[in-house]
Amino acid sequence: MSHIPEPDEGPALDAAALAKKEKTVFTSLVVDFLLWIPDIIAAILAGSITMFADVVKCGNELLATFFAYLTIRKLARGHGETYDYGMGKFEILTSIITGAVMLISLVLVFYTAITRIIKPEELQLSGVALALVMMSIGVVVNTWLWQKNYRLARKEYSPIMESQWRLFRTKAFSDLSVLLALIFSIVLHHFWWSVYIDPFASMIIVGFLFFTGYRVISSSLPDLLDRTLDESLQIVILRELTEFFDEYEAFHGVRSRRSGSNVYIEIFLEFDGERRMCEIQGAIDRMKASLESRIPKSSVTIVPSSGPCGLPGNRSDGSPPGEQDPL
Amino acid sequence: MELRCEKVQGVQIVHINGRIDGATAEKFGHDIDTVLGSSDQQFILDLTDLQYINSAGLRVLLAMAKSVKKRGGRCILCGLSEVVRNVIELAGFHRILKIAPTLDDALLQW
Repeated sequence: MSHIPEPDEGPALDAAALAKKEKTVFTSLVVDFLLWIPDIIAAILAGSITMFADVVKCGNELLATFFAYLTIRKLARGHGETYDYGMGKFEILTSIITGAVMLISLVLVFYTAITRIIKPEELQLSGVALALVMMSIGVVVNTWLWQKNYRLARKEYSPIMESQWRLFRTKAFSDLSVLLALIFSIVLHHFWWSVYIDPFASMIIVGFLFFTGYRVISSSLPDLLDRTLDESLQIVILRELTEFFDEYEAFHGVRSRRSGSNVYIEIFLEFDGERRMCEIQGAIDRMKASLESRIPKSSVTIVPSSGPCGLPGNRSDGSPPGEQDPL
Repeated sequence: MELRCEKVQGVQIVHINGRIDGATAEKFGHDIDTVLGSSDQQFILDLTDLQYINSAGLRVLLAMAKSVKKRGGRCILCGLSEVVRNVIELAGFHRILKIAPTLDDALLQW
């Protein structure tokens, strides 16, 4: 049975969800910043290239989180009059910036690591103690934020929350890598090759950054370019069209896209010209309500038409089969 | 994706083989239009050699089903593989089109 939301239910839920998202991202931002300052001090004192790379990476991530916070803040404050279709694209754009920042960090970390491999240096033991404490805190806090953001992202799809939980997972693992690198560098310092542990460990961070950055960009870019919905949702749309098969005269195509967490679907249908407008409107309302109840956060538009209205990727002309090309 | 027509026991049979996906759906649409335009909208669609169909192909079938119904025609799908049958049933096409297990069954039902 389909569920039709009450008129004020949707916006109320959206506002609450946005407020929660805003609070979560703000917490992330504050915690990140508080952890970043002693990180910088520890990196300088220890002279660790892995620590230094981690500091640079964290600085970039802080910027990305700040962008995410700004976006959610804008969404929570409401910009309905300026953006009729919501701010979904801005949200996706922020995700892409997050991914791009990760890839820039990757290049920076890689360069510094290669430099240290060419010119190896011993770690300063006085600074390593602080670094060990900071990295231990980092592992615990980032793991907690990763799990928290992951639960929110699973509850309701959002490109920002998706990129946030991946970001914290990367941070948790990279902090763990730094922690282990420092421990091994100290424990094994009497071996000549121990000076290479630090720069080689930073390559693990390079790997994390590459994987996460690529993943965030590759999942957000198609939506920014208005890629059509995936197959599972296309099948849901078709199922609705077969369910309401007798309500329309001809089917002229479907156009769909995502914008942030919202889904927009346009269906082009031809109706019986003998039917009264109120009957056609009734059929449209039933189809729209039914499909919107099956696809969360969807906005369905049924367009009465006698052709496909220039739909890309659909039939080149609008006429039903049999009324097109001459034989 | 290839489409081939023949007459068996006076019934027009349209054999489809290959895959119908985003890359081939448009050609499939044009071929089906040609078949519908040349026939009295009475035919059996033999999908025995169809390996795969996605939503783009199903949209063509939906438009075809509408056209057949509008003109009082008749169409039976037959020879669906398990993969194709799953997709067709998931999208609810078994409610709007007759489906027979094999071509022989479809001819018997005709």
